[in-house]
Amino acid sequence: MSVLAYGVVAWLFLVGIYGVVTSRNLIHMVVCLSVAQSATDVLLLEIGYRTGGHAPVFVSLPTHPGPAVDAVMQALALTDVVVGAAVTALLLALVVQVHKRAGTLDPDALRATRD
Amino acid sequence: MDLVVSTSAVIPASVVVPLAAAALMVGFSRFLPRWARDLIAIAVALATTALTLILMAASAGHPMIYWFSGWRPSAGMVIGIDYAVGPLGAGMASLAGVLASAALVYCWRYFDSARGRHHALVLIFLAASVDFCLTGDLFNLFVAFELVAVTAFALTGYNAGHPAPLQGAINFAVTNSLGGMSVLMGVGFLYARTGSLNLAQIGQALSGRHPDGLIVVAFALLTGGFLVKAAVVPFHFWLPDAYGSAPIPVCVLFAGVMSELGLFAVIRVWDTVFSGLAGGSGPRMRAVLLGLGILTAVVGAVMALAQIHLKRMLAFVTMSHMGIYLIGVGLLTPLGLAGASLLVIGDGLAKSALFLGVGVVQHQRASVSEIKLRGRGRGLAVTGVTIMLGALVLADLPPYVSSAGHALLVKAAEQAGLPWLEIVIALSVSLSSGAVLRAAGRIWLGWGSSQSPRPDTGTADDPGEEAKDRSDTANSANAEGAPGTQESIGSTDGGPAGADRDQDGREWSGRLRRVPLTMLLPPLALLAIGLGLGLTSGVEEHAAAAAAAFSDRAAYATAVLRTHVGPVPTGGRVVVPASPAASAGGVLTDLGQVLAALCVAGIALDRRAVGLRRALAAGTGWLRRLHSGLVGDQVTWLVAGLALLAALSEAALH
Repeated sequence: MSVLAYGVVAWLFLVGIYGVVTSRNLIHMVVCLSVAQSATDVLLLEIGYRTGGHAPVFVSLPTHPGPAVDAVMQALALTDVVVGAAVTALLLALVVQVHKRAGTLDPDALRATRD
Repeated sequence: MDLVVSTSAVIPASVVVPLAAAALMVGFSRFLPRWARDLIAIAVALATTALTLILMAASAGHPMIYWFSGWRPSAGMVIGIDYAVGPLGAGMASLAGVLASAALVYCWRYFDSARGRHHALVLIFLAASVDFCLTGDLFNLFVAFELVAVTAFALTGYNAGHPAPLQGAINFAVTNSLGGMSVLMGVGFLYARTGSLNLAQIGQALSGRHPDGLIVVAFALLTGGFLVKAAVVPFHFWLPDAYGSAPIPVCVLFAGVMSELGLFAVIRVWDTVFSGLAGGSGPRMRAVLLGLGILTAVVGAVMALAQIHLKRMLAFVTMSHMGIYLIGVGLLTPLGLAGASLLVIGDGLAKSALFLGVGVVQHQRASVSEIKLRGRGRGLAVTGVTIMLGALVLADLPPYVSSAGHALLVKAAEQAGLPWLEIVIALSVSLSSGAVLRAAGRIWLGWGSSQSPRPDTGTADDPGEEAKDRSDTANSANAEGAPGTQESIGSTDGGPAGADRDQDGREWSGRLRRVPLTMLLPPLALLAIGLGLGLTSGVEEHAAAAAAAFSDRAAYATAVLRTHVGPVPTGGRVVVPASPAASAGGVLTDLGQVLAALCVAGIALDRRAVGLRRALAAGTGWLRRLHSGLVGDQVTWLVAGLALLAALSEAALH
């Protein structure tokens, strides 16, 4: 479980970065950035995970519910999701503006319009 | 005791006031006339400045800890989120407040259609900066980091009439988001190792421990992420694109505060968390940070000299200064930190004044190209004086406050046994100030040739020169859009120049309207503040005491983790002996730097030295070509830099 999760984190992050670096389309690039971002969420959840742990809800439980997974890390992941959504929305809004003004979504072509 | 009780309400208020005002402004600004929106925003920014200044005064001598909702630590275990206020952090926050106020005053006549959203973004930016400076919680630090970043992305692309600022905003957003992810992963790893998010508690958990691989990786990820924001080589490639194309009032916030926050976080995390690690990593880590600082200072200065686009030039000047601050911070001594802090204040004020001055030029002459503006400074005498003074002050002209900071920094370098650092600092400062002086000489005195210094290389590093000029024109056209709807403030003859601007550059002098006072006065006021601070006696001692308190990990942990209420005991504070303020030697060094900067500008403007300039342009061509402005390249550099930093951290910490 643990090794697999860290493998997923590394894969998502690297594949997202690769996409950002090689992207020829700004929308594609923004999505790749979100892919890389999701790696951090998986990482946080994995750090807070406990094998056999139940959800961190502490009301109306039997007296010995056993270990719970770490609620702090889940809160962090949730906050990060919100931050990621804000960044993605803002970037997409900028991309829409770029398309309006420059008529292209290719970063290279966009640079060429500035020459 | 009274002071402690009353100021404990000031701590959260310094963040809540601008944040709540921003929310109200978004909601209700449509019901307010424009002058009311401007006045309210300026008043809120000034109030935030006052609150943070109160905190700076009240926390001198002992840190002030504020626990949200009163969740104090119990039995040494942190369960809440705290603000740990010291004079250094509060001082940084008040600098943000001053610059935000100046930017908002300047906006009065700069934008035509600031429908409350711009002001709200500036206020959120301010609130996030204050939060960033005061917080004692690692995750809260990340949230503030992201909040500063997201508002900054939005402000960069605000009201963009052309692709250039949009592209700058996208490059900025992509690289800094990756920096944020890096920080968050570092936070996660530190939590995995220590089970805490509180800086003091993490520091205690790691104190005396030998660093393992996880801690090294966490350090590299955290520091690397913060260095992206601080625009340190090789994480800096986004900076010229963003600063060179953002609106002028936004540039003020970026150059004066935002980059510096990155370094603030680096040293905060090092001092509270990693400095306690066993293994004596201090000297090796110092070498790593100093290396990065020297590289950044020199690359920034050389690139600044190669620019003819004024905003890009100031962007690289900013970057060069970040390198110098990193040298001060990277010495890892309180004295170095104190010197860097005073430089941050002095240079921040001066750079903001320069940006605002360039904004006046752009507003009146519809260009920010040094070449096109040659000899066209007539009629803008006040701005010319502002820019020349600002450039001289950047070279640490005494008795400006930068001069005091420079003296402390040099002293710290000597104490650390690295006196040659003084030469590096002097070199990069004279080059970057010389670049600004050269531009001022060309524009206001008409010196130098009207040809680009490097016709052979074209504008490889300035691809957007023409495009940006057009966008700037569009911006100023916007600004002129609705002069009649505004309350006239001193200039009854209508809006700023430009309705009848002569694009050919002839006959421009006679028909120009007056520059609004709200655009002339803020830069002068900022320079006056810096001068006033420089003339205040004892500013060096205060800075040294603040930095010593900031660097004292044990005292910080004790103050945060204690469970009882009451004033913090002041024991264990390092008292730095008073240094002879601005000794004769320091003044001579500073004057030497100013002279060197003037020489650089003179050589750059001398028609006979064209061969030398060609050679320099050819020699630095590869460096300029690296700044391609492509986001893919920038991300590649960022990842490579993170890998390099991880390798260096492994070598330094192990």
